This record gives sequence, structure tokens and C-alpha cells, in this order.
Amino acid sequence: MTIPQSPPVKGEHPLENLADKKIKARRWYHDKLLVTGAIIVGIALFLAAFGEAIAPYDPTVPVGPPSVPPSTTYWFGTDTSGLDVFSRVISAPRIDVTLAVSAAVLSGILGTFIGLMAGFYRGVFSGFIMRVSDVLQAFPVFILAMVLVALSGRNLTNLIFALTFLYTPIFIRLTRAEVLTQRERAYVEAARAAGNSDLKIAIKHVLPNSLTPSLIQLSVTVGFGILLTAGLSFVGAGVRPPNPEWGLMIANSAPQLVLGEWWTSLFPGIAVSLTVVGFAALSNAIERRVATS
Amino acid sequence: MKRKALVASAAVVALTIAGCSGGSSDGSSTDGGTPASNLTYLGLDVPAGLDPDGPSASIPATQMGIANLMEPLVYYKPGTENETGVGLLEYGYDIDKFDGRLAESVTFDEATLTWTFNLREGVTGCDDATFTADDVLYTFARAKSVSGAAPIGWFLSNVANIGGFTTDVFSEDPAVAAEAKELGDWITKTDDYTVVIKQDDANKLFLPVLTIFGLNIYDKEIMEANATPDDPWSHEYANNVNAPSFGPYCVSSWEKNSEMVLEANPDYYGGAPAVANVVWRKVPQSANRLASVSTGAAQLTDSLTPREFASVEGNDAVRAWRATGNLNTFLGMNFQSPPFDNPKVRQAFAYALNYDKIIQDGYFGRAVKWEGQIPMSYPGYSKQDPQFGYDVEKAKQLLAESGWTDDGSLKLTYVSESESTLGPIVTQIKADLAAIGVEIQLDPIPQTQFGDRALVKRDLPFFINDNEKPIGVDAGYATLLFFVSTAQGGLNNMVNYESDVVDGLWAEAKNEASVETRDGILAQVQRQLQEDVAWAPIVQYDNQWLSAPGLSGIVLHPDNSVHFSDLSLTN
Repeated sequence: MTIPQSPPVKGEHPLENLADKKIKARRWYHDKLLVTGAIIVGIALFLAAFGEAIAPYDPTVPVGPPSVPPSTTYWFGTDTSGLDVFSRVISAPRIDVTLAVSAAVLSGILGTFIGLMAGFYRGVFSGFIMRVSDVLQAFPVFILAMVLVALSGRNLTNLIFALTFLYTPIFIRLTRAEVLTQRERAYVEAARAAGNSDLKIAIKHVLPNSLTPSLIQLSVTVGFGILLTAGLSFVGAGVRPPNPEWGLMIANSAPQLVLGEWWTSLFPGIAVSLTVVGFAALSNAIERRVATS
Repeated sequence: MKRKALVASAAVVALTIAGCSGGSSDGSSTDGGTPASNLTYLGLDVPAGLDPDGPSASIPATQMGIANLMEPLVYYKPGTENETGVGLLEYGYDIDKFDGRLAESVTFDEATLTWTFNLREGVTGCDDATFTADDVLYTFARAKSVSGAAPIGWFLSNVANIGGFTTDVFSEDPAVAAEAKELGDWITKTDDYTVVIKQDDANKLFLPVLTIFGLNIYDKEIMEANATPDDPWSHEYANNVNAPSFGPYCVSSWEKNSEMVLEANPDYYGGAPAVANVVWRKVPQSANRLASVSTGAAQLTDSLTPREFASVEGNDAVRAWRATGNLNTFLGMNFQSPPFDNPKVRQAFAYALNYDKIIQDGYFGRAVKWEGQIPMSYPGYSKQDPQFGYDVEKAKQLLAESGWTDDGSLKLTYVSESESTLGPIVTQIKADLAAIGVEIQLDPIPQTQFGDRALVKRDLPFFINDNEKPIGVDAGYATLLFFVSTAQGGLNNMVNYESDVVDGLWAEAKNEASVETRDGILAQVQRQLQEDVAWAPIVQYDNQWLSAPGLSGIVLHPDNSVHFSDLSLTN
């Protein structure tokens, strides 16, 4: 006589759960893109917080002779003002990353909320919001950023607001598109049947289910924000000298290339490239994991 | 290795800039090589206009254009050469310091303050017109018409006490203005080749101002042919087409903001220039200009950064020239903007600067501490106390005595296009001021905005300037230009400095006939300027040129422009 056995139910066996967890952990660990992105972003955030404190020299004060090549004293050399390039490179995230993260978070919050409303309450309001977004996105981002900074003045707060203004439409569009899908789901109908108000349904039920695209976009936006900040400083519309900022460092050093002074622009160039790649990699990896989960 | 990198990058840049450029040969061999008739000069800019009274007259490229096309009546005599071969001029006030140009000779009657100019005969312009006394009268009449955007001709004549050049020309009463604009008996011709000019008071600046581009002589015939009822003095023509005169070069083509091509005037009275064709190209990036000359794609450039210039000194592939002239760098502190209305703050800032470090790191040693507020090579300059050396303790003490508390809002404004040159200097100044407890922000702004705010609105509170030079070679002229109050005729008083003492002394010096007495008065002026810290003088820096090795003849002119007729070139 055989004892009939019920078919195994996935997740019921404690050993099986453990195995799943290990597999998942291995997957995270072996996701090179994710790990690389996370490490770079982690370093960038760490330097944004502590870069200036751990820099060997004050990044805004001449500390040595001008235009000294990399050496044991000045690891990345000095620039034409005698500023230590290494100290400036690791201090720059305080401006570049902080500015980009602030702008990305602000535009994420603002854009997500507006997108939620525009998606949930369709009609004139939604149409108006989308047309305004269309108009804003029709302008070249860089030119519009220059105009905004020129009008509002060159300081960090204005730069953050300018970037926020430019990136908000992206989040509006992403969130609205997701909300349009979510609002037709059965759980929304159920929530409505349970007597919830529209606003409550939107915020409590639809919003959490519509956040994924915005969260993925957030990391990409930080990368773009860093590039835009550096670009604005490169053309003289961003951060004021001698603040450590990668774009500004590259702009001031580019003319020295012809004299063979490569170190003043190479290192900030590598730093800005790596950071942008890091945020993009992290975003890409998260997106991939979300898609496969 | 650094030189290899320079040459490699230079070659790429040069290819893109130079296109087909000068240096072509057309003569037989000499000991020094083959004479070349074509020269490519790369400048920061090309002339935006060619009218001495026009809107672009204050721009160095415009002044250089005029200097190469138009001829003065007299000019400074050549002097010695300095150690790099730059020709220097002899400066002074008396006739023996000047060479006749369009005027063959000059005589002066001290009793009647009358100057008689015997004009050169047989002088022909680019259009084959012949030079006569009528051209001189036309030039002064045009200056007196004050019809241009910037009445520089009138200003120079007024400064030199040329009779009749009074402020009445600006009268709101049309009848008074019209009468004042007539030359009258002050400037007359006795025949086709003799002009008489009378002064209304003694003034040593008479001959010096005649050397300035604003009083170079026009070709009346061509100018009048291009006049219109709305523009009887042909400003449009001079601003956009040509400055017809009797100079060594003629305009062959001119594309504003890009390129000007000059051809030698074959009938130039001084003999046809050795360089027959000049391609003058605008290349704003100094690194690109350096690259082009280093690779031989161009033969001459200037306005390189001190770092760039230092990098090629000793390089056999190029020739580096330098000379100390009237270029200087100073801190401007606006007397109408707190805290700079407080003299102790101005003094504290002047003592806070590490001059030696600025000279070494900012100018690579090619500058000297400026010990006054007048170019140190100018007649009438005298070193006066107090001298501001680097003294942090004294600066701190003065700052404490001033009672001013820094709130971190001070901005040091400078021209953003000069970042390569001024960047290291303002960074050092920021650090120097931080050492005495003053945290400033650096504020680079575009050249046009800087010019408008510093010279027109005069509302820049705190700035650094390395672009002001008095073209009139005289301490009094510089005083009038920068330090005499606007009410008393000061033109470029960027810091709103007002001193009854300086105004009074200038009025006294202006009409003093004795050079010795005049110098004494101007010394008092300079003492007052130092005591008041009218400017905080930092350095006088060298004029620098970079050329092909076969170029010779660079001369330091008061307007710092290159006169192509001075040059000769061998391949």
C-alpha cells in the first residue's frame, strides 16, 4: 500500500525556501551590472558626503606650484592655479552628485504626484498638464537650462530648481502612463466598491503600484543631472570657480591640453564619466530585475 | 615629452585654423633666408569697425586696424631694442621726440601757441588720391562734428587744448553747437601743404595726442564720396567698409568677426612695406593661436596666456618677444559701494595680496609689482608712498580698525573670457583675502557685460581688470582718463573715485608749460592716488608676441597693436 502524497507546494518546505533565498542572493551577487553600479553610486554618495573632509588639501586654495604633473605629493597633479586636482576631483561630488540627486528627487516627487493626478483625473486637467509637458520637452534641455540659470542667477539653489523644472515632465509622463493602466485594474474597482474616495484610491492604492517606472528613472535622471550640471559649468553657466565641480575643472583645463597638461582635464573627465555610467548601470540593472521578477 | 604633446596637438589645431596661410616666398635668397611677402596674423579679434569715432573704437582690434590703415601727422621716434629684440619708442613732449609722418616738419611758436605743420608732398593713398591740407582740415572738422558714437577725436583735441574744441559742441542750443563745431581760425591752411593749429592754452599733450589713432588723417576725397545726407561724415562707410587714408596698408577684404586681408599700399610714402599681404584672422582661443604659430601655419600672434608663453620660450621653432609697456592688473574697489567707501578696507585689501606669488604663479615671472597707478614707463610717473606690500598682519589690523564685518557676500568680478589668465590670479586673491578673514565669491562675467558695468554704468563693486591702458603716453593723460571725477571730464573712472585734490592738481598740470613743474604736480597727484588707494595696483605685465623665427621688426606701440609695416619676414 502506498501512501498517497500530495504534490509538493512551492515554498512550503523550509529547505526549499532557504535554497531560493540563496539562489536569489547569488543572483544579486552575480549581477555584475548591478554590483558595479551600486559600488560606483555608493562611492559617489560617500564622496558627496565626506569627499571634502577626506581630501588631502583644501580644494579651493592653491596648495602648490601651478601645473605640476601627478606625483606622490599631488596624486593627480595641480592645475594652473596651483589647486590640488585630486582633492578637487573627490570633493566635486558634493556639488555634482548632491545637486543631481536633489533635482532628481524633487522632480521625481513633483512629477509623480502631478502624473498621478493627470492619469487618474482624465479630462481638461490631464490634457493641460500633458500639453505643458510637451512644450517643455520640446525645447533642448541644455539651452533651456542655460536660459533658466541666466534668468534666475548662478547659485546652487537656482541650479537645483532649474534641473527640477526640466526633469519633472519626464516623471509626469511616466507616472501618468502607468496610472492609466492601473486605474483600470480590478483592485481599483474593488476599492471604489468599498467606499473609498477617488483621492484615497489614487494615493493609497494606485500610487504604490505606479511607482516602479519613476523609481527606475530616478537613477537615470541623477546621471543626466550630473552631466547637465557639468555641461552648464563647462560653458560658464553653472557653478562659480573655484568651487570643485567636474565640468568647471574640465572647462578650465581644456586649453592646457595643447601644452601637454593632460592631468587637469583627464581625471575630472574620468570621474564624471564613471559616475554617470554608475547611475545608468544601477538603473538598468534594477529595471532588468523588476522586469524578470 | 611635453613638447611632443604640444607639437602633436598643435598640428591638429593648426590644420583646422590656418587653411592655406602665409609665409610664401617671392624674393631671392638672403643671408637670413628667403624674404616672404605674406603673413598670417592670428588675433583675439578682427576690427569690428574702422571709425575712430565709432562704437567699436575702444576695442583693441579696431585700434589696430586703424593704425595699419591710417597715418598720423607725427609719431614717436624709434628708440632702442630690448633684450628680446622688441623695438621701443622714445617718449616725451617736445618736437625732437617725434618723427614727421604726414607732416614733414613741425614748428611751434610758444608765444602764440601756434603749431605749423609742413605737410609731405606727393603722398598717395590706396585710391590714388593725393594728400593735401584739406585732408587734415577734414579730419579735425569731423572730430569736431561729434557725430560719431564715441567722440574720441574731439576728446583728444580737447585734452590737448586745441583751440575751439570746447564742450559747446554738445550744447543743447543748436545755434551754439553749430557755431562751436566750426573750425574757425584755430585750424587753418595757408596753402595746400601747410596747416596751422593753435592752442587756446599751453598744454604738453599736444604732440602726444596727435600720435593716437583717433586723430589719424582721413582721405577726404573718398570719405566725402561715401557720405550721405543722413551721414555726412561717412560713419557707416568707416564702420563697415574702409578707413581711407594714406597709411601703409589698404583693405583687400574684410569679414567682420572672422578675417581681414590687407594689401600693402604700393605708393606708401615710407616705401612699400616688406610684408605685402597680411591675412588677419580671428582665433579667440589662445591655445589654438599658439598651436598654429608653433607649427608654422601662422607667423604671428599675441595675447597668449602667461603659461602658454612660458611653455614656448626657448623653443627654436618659434620666436618669443616680450616688452614691458603699459599693461597692468589692478583691483577696482568702487568708492560708492560699501565697504569700499571705507579707506581702511581698501588699504587692508591692498596689504593682503601676495604679490610675489601672483607674479610667479600667475604671470610666470613675466610681470613686476606695480608701484603706482600710472604705467611705470610713462613720462610723469613717480613712485609714491604708501607702497602696499604683502603684510597679512597689517591687513588684519586695518580691517579690524575699519569696523567692517564680512558677511561673505562680496563678489570679485572679472572677464570670463580671460579665465585662463585671470583664473589663477583671482584664485590666489580669494585665498589671500580668506587669510585675513574675508570670504569672497568669484564672479566671472562676459566681456561685454563687464565693459558695460565697469565703464558705462560704473556699478561693479569689486573687480579685477587687466585690460585698461592709457594710450596717451603721459601720467596726466592717465590721470584724466581714470581718476579725474566725471564732472571734471574724467572718462573711464570705473571706481567712481572723486578727489578735489586730484581734480585741482590735474587742472593745474594740464596747462603747465614747464615739464619739470608739471611732473612735480603729477607726483602730488600720484601720492594722493596711493593714499586713497584709488586702485589697488597689482602688477605691470609684459606684452608678449609669438612669431615664426624668421620674423623681425616687432615694435611696442602705446596702443599695443602690431603695425605690420614694421615687420619683415623670411622663410
